[in-house]
Amino acid sequence: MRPHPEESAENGHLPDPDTEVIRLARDGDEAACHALVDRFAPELYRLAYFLVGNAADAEDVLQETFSGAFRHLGRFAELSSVRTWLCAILVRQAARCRRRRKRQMISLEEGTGGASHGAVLVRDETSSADLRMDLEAALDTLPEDHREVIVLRELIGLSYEEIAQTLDLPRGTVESRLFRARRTLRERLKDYMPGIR
Amino acid sequence: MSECDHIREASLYHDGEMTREEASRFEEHLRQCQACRRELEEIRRLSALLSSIRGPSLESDVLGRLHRTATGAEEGVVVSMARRLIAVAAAIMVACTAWTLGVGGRTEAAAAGEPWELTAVTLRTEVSDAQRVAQWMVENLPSENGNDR
Repeated sequence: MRPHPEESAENGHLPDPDTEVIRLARDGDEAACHALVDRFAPELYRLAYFLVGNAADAEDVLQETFSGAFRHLGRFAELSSVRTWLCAILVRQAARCRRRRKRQMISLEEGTGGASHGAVLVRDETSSADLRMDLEAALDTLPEDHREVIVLRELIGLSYEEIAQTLDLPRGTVESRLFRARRTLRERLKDYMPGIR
Repeated sequence: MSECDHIREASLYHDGEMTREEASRFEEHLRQCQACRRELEEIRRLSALLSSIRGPSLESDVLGRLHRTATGAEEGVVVSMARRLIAVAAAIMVACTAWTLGVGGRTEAAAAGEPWELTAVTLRTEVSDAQRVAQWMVENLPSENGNDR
């Protein structure tokens, strides 16, 4: 439940404990840098995986995210949480990765005389569960902006406000994209949900 | 059939994005609206389905690489490689510059009176003079020495 405005006022703003870790890391504290990796890498990897659709690209995106974050620790303005800041970097890196992959696929299709059409997902070899594969395929067919919102909400658990900060969008846009993304996914995954219209 | 005007509120309610008052009002509406009840139920089922997906776990070697990135070890490798590349590039530039000066710059250097080029001109002049002397000797010495032709 979103806190009522009066409740927020009573509690005040609690300091983000991760922000202190960032300050230490900025001062060159190696333990703080390691703590940031340990704290956020598993969740960010999950986010990367569901944004780009395969483990190899997800690892690259994660690596680029942390490289970028550590290079620009000074740019963290402490206006959002560390988690949101890192998610925002990762979403941008994932978008870049997807554009790169799309160009490669177009180039591959041109090389093979355009034999392949539609989205082709390079699957992780370790992925065998039908549900996961079908979910990945369903996510892959979503427009990029809907995919980002649904993954951040349903698989990472960010609040609307955090998603808005991460994607630099108005909250209302987050709501409408989430609504439409859920509608599309329900249609694509209805075999797993008997009774769905 | 048009949808209920409150249908989008089911998402907000499900995600806990309503204030208490908003949630109470929507719960009141749910008691009267089958479409919104159904919408909420389907969102719940989709959400449960999605949350059952775990995704792959992060391998320890990937975590290790991230730790090295964090402490700058990876950057150290990159910097080292970059330094080597710069050294090679600098060597190539020096070689190219020297070659350009040696070939294209010769006439310009001569016009400009470069010392090394003047020496080369002098040497070429000396060679020409020696050739003329040799030719003169061949043509004139026999008669001057009283030799018969």
